[in-house]
Amino acid sequence: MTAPRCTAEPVSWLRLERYALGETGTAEAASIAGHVEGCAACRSALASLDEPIDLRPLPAAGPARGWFERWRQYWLGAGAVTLAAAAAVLLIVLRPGRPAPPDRPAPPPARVAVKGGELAIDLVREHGGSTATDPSRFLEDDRFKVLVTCPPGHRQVDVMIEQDGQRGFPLAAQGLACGNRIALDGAFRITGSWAPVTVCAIAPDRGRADRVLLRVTPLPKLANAVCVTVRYAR
Amino acid sequence: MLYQTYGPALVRKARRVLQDSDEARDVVQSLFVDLMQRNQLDVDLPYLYRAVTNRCLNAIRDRDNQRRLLEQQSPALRGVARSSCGERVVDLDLLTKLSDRLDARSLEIVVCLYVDDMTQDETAVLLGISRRAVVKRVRKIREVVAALVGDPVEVAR
Repeated sequence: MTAPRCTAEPVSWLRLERYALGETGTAEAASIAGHVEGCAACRSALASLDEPIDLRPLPAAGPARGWFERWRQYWLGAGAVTLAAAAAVLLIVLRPGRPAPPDRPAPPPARVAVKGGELAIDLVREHGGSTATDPSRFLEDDRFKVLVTCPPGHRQVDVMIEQDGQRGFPLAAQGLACGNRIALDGAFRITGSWAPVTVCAIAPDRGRADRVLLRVTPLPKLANAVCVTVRYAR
Repeated sequence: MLYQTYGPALVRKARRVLQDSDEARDVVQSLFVDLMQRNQLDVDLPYLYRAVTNRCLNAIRDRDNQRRLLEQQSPALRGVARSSCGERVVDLDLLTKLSDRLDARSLEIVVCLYVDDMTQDETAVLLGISRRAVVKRVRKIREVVAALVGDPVEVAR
């Protein structure tokens, strides 16, 4: 069996797992992200952590849990991040709440000027039959649609969300005939944690963004990306 | 909750050592059952990583287990191997051979360095020993591996 070559010293599996769990500080996370960006072997290792793992059940213990905890345990049992890939409403389950790393740099803004026009992201929140545009808050059972504004032409657009240092892709990457506030196919819900969620639309000039790279690129360094953050409405 | 959070990472780790998904899940499940019974839930991932290493090595050392593990192993579950001892990737086959020739601490170091791809410094911190102690054992480990596989001994890692 031959070993793929790391560009320097490999990032250990323990460090990668802690990084994926959001348990590393800012400096350590940046160091890992920087190495992974340039090392195919470690990038492959990090990507392999996405595979859902089925755990054996543990014997029941303690008093009966409430409906929310039982529901959350059901979804979390399939692994770290579970995505239901469908064109309809997607249920996004991210890790339980964990303090965000200190000194977290700001993601790209919701609107940026690009060659030929503007790149922008807008969210539409639907709750109980009523909709709200440009929401800054979310509640349980909210459903979100993503609207993208981009200069005339065609672009491949991907949507990435980050919460508690965990990243996921709630919608399929899709081709878009650009215009003003074009709705992407699909919608998603945020559940499992009430930490703030940053939603980014990535729309490169050419081609499609590499999701493996997107997972490890610090948000401020995302190219051709616009982001908006929503917080839990208490 | 600790099980749901860390369980997948620990199963992945156990799978790299034992090269069997069911065995890996069993090891991790039994670890958490023991932790629950001892009410020892204030543990972190490094602690759990080490606990899984030791449980996997215990499974490998057992003769009856060895035969079964070797028969049902899936080499692909060894995963991305980014480091090696000399030119040899440390897999289940090599670990079973080493289990007869190295003591428990040295085997732990083998797993840390060559299966979990840790540095010598990381290994020292995880095991609570000095880096010098790790280096000393690595020399012996490399000699034993070289003798097993017929490779010339290299001085540096």
